[in-house]
Amino acid sequence: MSMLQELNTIVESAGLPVETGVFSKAAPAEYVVITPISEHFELFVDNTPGMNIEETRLSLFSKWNYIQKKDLLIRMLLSAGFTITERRYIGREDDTGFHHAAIDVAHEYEQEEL
Amino acid sequence: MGKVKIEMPTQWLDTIAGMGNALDAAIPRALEAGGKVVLEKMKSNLRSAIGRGTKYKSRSTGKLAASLGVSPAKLNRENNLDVKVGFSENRGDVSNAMLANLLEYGKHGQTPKPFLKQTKSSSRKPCIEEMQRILKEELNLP
Repeated sequence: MSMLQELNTIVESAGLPVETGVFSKAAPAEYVVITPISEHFELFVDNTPGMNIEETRLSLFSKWNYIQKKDLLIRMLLSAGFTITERRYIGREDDTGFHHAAIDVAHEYEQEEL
Repeated sequence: MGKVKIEMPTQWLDTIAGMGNALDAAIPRALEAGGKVVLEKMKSNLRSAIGRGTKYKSRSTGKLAASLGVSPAKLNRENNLDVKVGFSENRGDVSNAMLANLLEYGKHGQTPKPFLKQTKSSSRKPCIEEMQRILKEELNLP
């Protein structure tokens, strides 16, 4: 399973609508957008990469108290083996009323042959 | 504004710890060389983030990209030498740090374009390698 598939499953099972890249539907009062950040190869053997590390940002938007959902997401991500590289409250957007929090995650996958 | 740190490996620092005066002169040069590597990567990531996928025609003025730079090596609060790659501030209307934050994290209705995090991931290794190369050169190490 790819990182994006895994993340989509986790966020959906936390009861939050989620899309990758941009939230194209009319936005509900609470939702998550997944933005891939980077992919890099580590651990080379015989000039071939053995491991792929992927990094992704989850942006949680909520018009209510966002803390419970944020904590739930973090618990689920950790128990699924993700590394949390950053948690940050970005702020409340006065024009839209959304609280915005960012959670950056990383996961290593064994590199399949290209 | 978000902040990322790139540090030299401890094992490497231990091997050069007792070198005294030569080291004092070499460290700022190594840091500046490392800073340059990060700056170039960040410039190209920032350029590709500005004005990409905007709902309306981009009104970019080029001020944010032009304000990006690297500081000279100075002692920080913890008495360690460092260089900083970031934005200078004298834009006037809004701060460059705020605009960079908006680009990096996005907002409701504006997708994030994480140029800073990308820079950290992709420049960490080349930055450390360049700093080690300069130090070896300056200290005549094998």
